[in-house]
Amino acid sequence: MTLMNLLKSLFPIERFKVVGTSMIPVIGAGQYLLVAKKSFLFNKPEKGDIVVLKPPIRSRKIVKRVFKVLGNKYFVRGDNLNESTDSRFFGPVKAEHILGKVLFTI
Amino acid sequence: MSIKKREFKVLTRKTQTTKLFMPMKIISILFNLLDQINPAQAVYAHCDVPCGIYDPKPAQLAAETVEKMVEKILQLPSEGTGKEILEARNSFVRMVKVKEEHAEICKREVLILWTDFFKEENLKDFPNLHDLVWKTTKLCSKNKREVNPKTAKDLRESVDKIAVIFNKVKAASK
Repeated sequence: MTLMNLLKSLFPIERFKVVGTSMIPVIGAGQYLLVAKKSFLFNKPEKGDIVVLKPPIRSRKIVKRVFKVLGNKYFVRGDNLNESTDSRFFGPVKAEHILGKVLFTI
Repeated sequence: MSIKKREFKVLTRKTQTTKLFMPMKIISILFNLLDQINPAQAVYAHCDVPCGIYDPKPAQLAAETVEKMVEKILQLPSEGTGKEILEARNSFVRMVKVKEEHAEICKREVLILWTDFFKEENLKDFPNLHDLVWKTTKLCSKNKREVNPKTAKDLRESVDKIAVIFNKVKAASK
């Protein structure tokens, strides 16, 4: 691991760039997200939070909104339901698959 | 008095606009610059449900059917008794119909892969993809117009090339 990667992994906030339109109208394609990586160590995700997650059967990180909290699992959906692959497809996800909470969009 | 009030309002609105949007613009420019130096990770917000059911096989089957029909049309007898000629004409019309339909199916299936399965980033790995798809769909139309074994073979080979790229893209995304 290079020093840069180490610093990145320790830094609590990470930049992401959005690909796709499943979060329209709140987040459009090409927008940047600032994501608090460790926020869920202290507070559990709540309904309405926009989160970055890596569902078990997908290889890519995705951004969705927590639609329902089911005990220790979270049902996530895109805001743009017609163009979203979310918990309707891969089922609710565990907290460990949620990487962080979206703080800002730019 | 009323004029002064109006001027004040306009000024206030202008000031607010400047206050609200200038920092965002600067931040946006900074982020773009930062992205050039150290690209942000991609996070996906898209629909990929249908990816699992995309397949180049229907296009390949249609292209093979077109080739088979061309072969069979060329084997039809041009001489014979009245009954034989009638049967050959009947077969000819049916074969041309099947060729026409399958060339159309092939074109549609290739375009579905092109518009729905392949993504912009795939062009970086397969720079000839755009040209290949374009020429393949043109070959579909050419096969409708002609009864030419070479045109039919070209179509089958082009579709096979698209299938090879499809399989590579699919394997890479797993």
